[in-house]
Amino acid sequence: MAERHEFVIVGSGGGGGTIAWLLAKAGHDVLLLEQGPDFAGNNRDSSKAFDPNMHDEFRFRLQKPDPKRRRRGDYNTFLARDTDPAATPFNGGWTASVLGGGSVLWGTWSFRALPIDFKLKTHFEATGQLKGPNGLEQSGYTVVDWPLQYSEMLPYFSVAEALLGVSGDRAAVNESIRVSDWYQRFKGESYWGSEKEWFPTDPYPLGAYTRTPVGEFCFRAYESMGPSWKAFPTPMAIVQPGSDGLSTRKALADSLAKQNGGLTGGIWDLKADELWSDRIRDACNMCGYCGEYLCWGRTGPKWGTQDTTLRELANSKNATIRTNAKAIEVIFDEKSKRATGVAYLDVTNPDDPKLECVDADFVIVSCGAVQTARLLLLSGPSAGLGNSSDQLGAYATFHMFGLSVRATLDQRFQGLLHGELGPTGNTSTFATYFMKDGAGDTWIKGGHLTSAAKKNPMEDAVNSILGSPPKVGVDILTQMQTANRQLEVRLTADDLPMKDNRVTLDPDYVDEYGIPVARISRKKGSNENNVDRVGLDYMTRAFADFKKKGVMSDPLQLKAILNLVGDHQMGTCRMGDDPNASVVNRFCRLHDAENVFVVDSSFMPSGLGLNPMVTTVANALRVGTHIVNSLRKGEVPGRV
Amino acid sequence: MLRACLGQRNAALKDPAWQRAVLIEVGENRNPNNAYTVEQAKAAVDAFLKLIPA
Repeated sequence: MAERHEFVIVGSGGGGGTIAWLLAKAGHDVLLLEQGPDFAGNNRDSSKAFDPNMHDEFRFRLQKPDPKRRRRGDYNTFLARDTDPAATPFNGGWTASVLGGGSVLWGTWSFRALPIDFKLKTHFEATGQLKGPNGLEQSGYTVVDWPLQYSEMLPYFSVAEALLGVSGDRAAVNESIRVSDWYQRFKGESYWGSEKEWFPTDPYPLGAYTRTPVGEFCFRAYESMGPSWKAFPTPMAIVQPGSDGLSTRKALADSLAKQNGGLTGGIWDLKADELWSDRIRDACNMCGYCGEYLCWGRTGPKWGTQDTTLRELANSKNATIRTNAKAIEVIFDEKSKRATGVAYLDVTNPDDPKLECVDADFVIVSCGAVQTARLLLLSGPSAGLGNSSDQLGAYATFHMFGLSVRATLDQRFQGLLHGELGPTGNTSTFATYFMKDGAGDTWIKGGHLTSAAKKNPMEDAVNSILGSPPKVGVDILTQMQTANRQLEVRLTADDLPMKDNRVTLDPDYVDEYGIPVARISRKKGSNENNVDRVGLDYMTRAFADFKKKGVMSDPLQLKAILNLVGDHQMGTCRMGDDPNASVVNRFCRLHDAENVFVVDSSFMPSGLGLNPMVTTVANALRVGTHIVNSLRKGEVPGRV
Repeated sequence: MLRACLGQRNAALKDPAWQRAVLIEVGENRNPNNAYTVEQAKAAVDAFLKLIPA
């Protein structure tokens, strides 16, 4: 008799790891499949509060494949549309293939989607940018509003911030939005949203993360632009340094107490001590190995599902977490239009994979937008599961990674920038969320702007050796010294959705088990070219005052890199009310299958101008609550 | 060789200063086992700001 579970969840990151916790807390029987190993559990010495084994630049930055990002033999292919003659294998497009998925590697910038992100079509229609000969539609974009009201997400944003343990200064974030030129320009529009939606008043669970020299420099650069550019400490899902640590139980209790009845049913009627253990997450000790590294703290100072929601499930009788389980098909019964289970390869020994099948009442997919699309395309009818309208994989957006301006400080700052102190992305502004293009009243969608500094000395050395011309000897040292004085401002800008920017199955390339890999096809359209141009101008002007004072040399402008496709993966399973124009409905259930849900960031109809993690976690909480409430009422979850 | 020179996993040299010799040369403080306090971060900001013209 086949193994059977009520819910089989594929993927353990922000979406899958969150909904697994919620469903198990509600008493449902859950099996969580993760293709990667429990990397932190296997490599971190649990007898140490902080284990420097996680600080290994060679292993985590230079070794290929990066052992935490993708499994041996895994790769995607990339096609630059209108440019490349054929798709070729590349290293990008992976979040992480370890327990916790992308949630263990992200930079922790913890922003809610802004109200306007749910209404971009309405906005562009109102500003005359959507239609007409030079409009976005004519240029190949399909911009839509989200089928949700922003108010429906608000309570889940608050709970998500509690789960993540966000450190931040809410008033400063609000102020940065409120005084911006774009907010002042559009705040009176009828579609714009309420003050309550734009400016939440509840504080973050913890105070702001400490500012470092990198952040201080950018803080002053932003504010040199005038009163409409307000800087603020980037809200981060890292326990505030110097604090007493974070009780997630208390943070949840505080959040739920503020809901005023906004959250009922589901697990939200449970008491806080029934929701969460008394575990405390230790304060961050500012080691500086964030982002591309797994946190070295035993208690998870940096949020990831493996140290939080999944750890809470470790001793649960109704939840099973299975690592090294690489899903290869959602098994679908055409007659009943229902999934019956999931087939996966047990790759504990990658040289001896074992095919396993597990039956399920419900299947929830959360593998990241690229691998979720791949898995669904490998499943069901020949065109793929959920693809009856040729929408699956389409409208992929990845943000405009690489779009930045780099400052190289004068030699007197050698050794003083201290990029090793904590995460360098600690200072942001919202002044650039929309950017004015020219002297008229044309505004293009940008994103939030954040400080950054590269801080991997071994990688700097290798890059100088591999540079053109290659550097050796003293030249390597000089190059590393220069890198030590460099910082950047980075624009997390939206790339607007185009149908043909999409994920498909590559017809030519397979992985080491003979399974077609994902092909990512992408191009920059007129909007992205405009964002490159205007964004670089905005960022360069922010450094003008420091340039004038002789603190730095001419800033280096860096456009977005088309194939720099990484952690921010959105689209591919667009949410919408119309089955002919979307893949999942408002409850993130496939239009084509009664019992298959998608809860990673692939549901997003547009890509936000900020890190999508908080919105992904909030949405997983929303969908999970809907499922629990529906089942308790004897209704079929996912039906609109 | 780079890995050894840059002090990441250099077991041959006992003295931490020698393990980090190249990093010290380039003013780089990034090392396994790093840990800092809020006060150290503030001191770093203050030292940095002293060189920024008003």
